[in-house]
Amino acid sequence: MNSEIAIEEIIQVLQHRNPFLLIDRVKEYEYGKYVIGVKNVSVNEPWATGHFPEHPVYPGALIIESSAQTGGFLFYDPEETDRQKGGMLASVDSFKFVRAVYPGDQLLIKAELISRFGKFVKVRATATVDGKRAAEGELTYVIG
Amino acid sequence: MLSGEKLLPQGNNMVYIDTYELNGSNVSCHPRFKGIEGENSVPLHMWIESIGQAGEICLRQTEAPSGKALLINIEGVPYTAIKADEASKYRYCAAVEKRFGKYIRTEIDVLKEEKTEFRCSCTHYLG
Repeated sequence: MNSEIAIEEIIQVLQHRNPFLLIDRVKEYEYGKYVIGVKNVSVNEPWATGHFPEHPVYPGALIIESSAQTGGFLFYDPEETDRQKGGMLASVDSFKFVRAVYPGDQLLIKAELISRFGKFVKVRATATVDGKRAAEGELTYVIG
Repeated sequence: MLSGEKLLPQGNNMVYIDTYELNGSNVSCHPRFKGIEGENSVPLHMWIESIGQAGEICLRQTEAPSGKALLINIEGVPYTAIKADEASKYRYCAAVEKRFGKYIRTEIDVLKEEKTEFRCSCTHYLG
């Protein structure tokens, strides 16, 4: 198990930039097994004025984006140059939203490897707020 | 052609359907991705949101709910990072597949240049 990845390193790995960088920190990870990422949801983000006006709710599509970015670290190893490739998301196989997420919530997202077939990997992502499940789904990545 | 902004409750900056039209019980939607231009890739969340909104427009036109329609499930959406300047080639055809109580499942065919690229589905909860 590896320790945290701070935002400075996240920016080196992911190509996403503000306002589309939707993971604040990687809390812990184990290469090829799981990643736990953190997304702090704030009212001071572009989505909040429109989803919905007067009643901000973190969009499900952004939960998926945060989950996908978290899963991008599943095959990241800062020590090994040839294991520093992240993954490219290929599909959102299924995602369900169990509980609304609001500004002030901290999303903890666990992305776990389910299976691998060649360059394709299937990942289960579970997002929780205060220990309660907010969303979960399965994503497919292409790695390497 | 009807305006997505006028029907959907999301604020202007979060509406990813430009126009739509009714074809019987089906709805045909044209996506838009404001702020993304040229060769830049449409972000995953905008892609997903646009498809979900096609489902929402469909259920709002056919089931006419008065309150919120919350996306609670989405399935079968490949992500190929389409370029912003390709967005006009895409069209979504949505139809209600089934309704069970307050849950409405819609099927959405995503077409590029009038050829079906894939079919996906989403479920909304009427709050």
